[in-house]
Amino acid sequence: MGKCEYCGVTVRGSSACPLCGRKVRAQRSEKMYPDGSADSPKAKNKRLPFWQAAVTLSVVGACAWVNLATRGSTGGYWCLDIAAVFAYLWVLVLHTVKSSAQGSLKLSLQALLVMVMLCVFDWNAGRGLWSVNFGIPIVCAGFIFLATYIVVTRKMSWSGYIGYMAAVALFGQIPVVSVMLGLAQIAWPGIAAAGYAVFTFLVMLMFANGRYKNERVRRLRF
Amino acid sequence: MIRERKRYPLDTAAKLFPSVSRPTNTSVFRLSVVLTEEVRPEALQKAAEETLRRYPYMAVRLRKNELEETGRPFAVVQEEKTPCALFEPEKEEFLLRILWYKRRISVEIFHALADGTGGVMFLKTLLHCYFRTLGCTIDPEGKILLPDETPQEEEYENSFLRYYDGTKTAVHKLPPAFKIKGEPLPDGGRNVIHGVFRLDGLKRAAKRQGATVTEYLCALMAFAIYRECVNGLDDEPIVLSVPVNLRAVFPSCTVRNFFSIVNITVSAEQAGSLRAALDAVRRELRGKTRPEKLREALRESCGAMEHPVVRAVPQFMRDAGLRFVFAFFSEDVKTMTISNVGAFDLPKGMLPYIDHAESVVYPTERSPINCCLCSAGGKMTVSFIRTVQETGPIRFFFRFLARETGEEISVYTNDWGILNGKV
Repeated sequence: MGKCEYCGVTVRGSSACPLCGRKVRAQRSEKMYPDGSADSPKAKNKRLPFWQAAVTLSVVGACAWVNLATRGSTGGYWCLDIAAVFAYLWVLVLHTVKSSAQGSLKLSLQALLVMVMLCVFDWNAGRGLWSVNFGIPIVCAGFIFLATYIVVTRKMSWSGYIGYMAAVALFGQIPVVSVMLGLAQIAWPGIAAAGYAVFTFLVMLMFANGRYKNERVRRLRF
Repeated sequence: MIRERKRYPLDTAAKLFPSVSRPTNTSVFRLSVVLTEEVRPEALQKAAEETLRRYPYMAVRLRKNELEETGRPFAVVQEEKTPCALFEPEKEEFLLRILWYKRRISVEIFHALADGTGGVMFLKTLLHCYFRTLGCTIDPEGKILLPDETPQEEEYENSFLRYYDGTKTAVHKLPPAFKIKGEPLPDGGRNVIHGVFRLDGLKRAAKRQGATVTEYLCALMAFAIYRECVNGLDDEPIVLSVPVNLRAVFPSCTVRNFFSIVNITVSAEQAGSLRAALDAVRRELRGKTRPEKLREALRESCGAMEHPVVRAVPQFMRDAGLRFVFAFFSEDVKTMTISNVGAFDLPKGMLPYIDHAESVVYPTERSPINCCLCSAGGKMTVSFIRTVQETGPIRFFFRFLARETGEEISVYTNDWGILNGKV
């Protein structure tokens, strides 16, 4: 038995203190436990979603076949709507629900996919441009509101906080870019969404908690 | 003629454990004694067989909503895995293990079978049989269920139902508690750290503060968690979940589960000093262990678990519901479990053969460090089990205790997750 001077305890059956890891000056006494094995030494194989993939491929494939066989010369590609919905469900389950990625990344991917889905629906429904005129700005504003709500109500590390700030700044620009590129014909929803994003970003910067501010000063020197 | 296997109903608390047990929450606790001499496996095997004949309701396997006599031979085994390893109730023939390693005899019990008090009763009979097999004559002093006695029906009764008056009480959800976080240990093992010391010094230290041993250790644990785990961002209270033996209030000699959980809330401000933490713990523990409060807790448990609607729903739906209830009403509202198994109360003739006792309670996903206390022969053992690498609160706890009690604390571990002495 040896004495750990740091912890003030006597250590049995080990040459290091189990509390602090420091070596103890004494002969190793009787070992109190065997060298244990884990409950499940073999790592469990990660199950691949074969059934889900098969169902997706068969449904989308069948829809595509029916769509192409019946569309004629003027019909649309409605099978793309089905494919977009399935793609969204896959991301929802595999990334948003199951993955351990940062919340800001999950939320950004969700918003991005909803935008793509709206564009596909719009394109198939006659290209009325309602997706870029109104859909995308509304999704961006909704995303920013949700990000603000999460930041206000949940405790998070400084890296999580920065993630949400960056996502807000990025998503606020998407509607403006679509206006500048001439994709959107009505400008005010996009500009309103961008304004909301800038306002939220500045508020987040001003009212950030002390821990985030400390990290920002320490790492970025401002 | 084929003899029909005897079946025993699950008690009210036991209904929860099969639904919620998994590798990260095994629902298995361990009670051990470290002898003064090496264990003799042949004698232990004989003692185990004898003991299980005395406790036929413990030699059972889990069937749908009930326990069924196995009728299979039981074998003691040398300890290999980390403590409190998972039982797979659907596959395994027994819901308890008897293990030995060098000087230690351990009993690991799936919680659906018994609680800590029931486990201690079983272990004491096992020890009596073991020493008798070795030729020692020990006067049981009325403290042991002897192997020659006939098992009584009261020993496996559901005491919850016996004392439940049928009154419904609303179940209240406490606010979320502070959770200890950390890097998980490799391969899903569990690390245990035991600290053994003379009980006298601890009693003196507790008395100086005007507290009982349990109150003092709970307050010290809250203080240690605050000092080592809480940072400026955390404002949730530290909640210590303390199982209380209901046999102290309701006379029962059941070996099955008969306990209630008392949640001791210590706010972040109170946990900042031992004195304030002790005041909070004393007030909460004394208030919540009054007989009328325990009667209310019993009503809460039975009102929910024995509700006709709950009993009528299909098993898979009940399992899902119980998992949700466990996560929402138990896991979410506690920081750590501190279970005081109490004194093993062994006959005097047995004490010269016993060095000290150990008790270990399983950790869970959101409560990755748990603590269990027990004593035997004037020696107290505080045992921590953890599934995370961080040892901060444990180190603080033992350092403080060594200084305050003035006793020599002897610490040992199973080394799981410790590489080259690096904690």
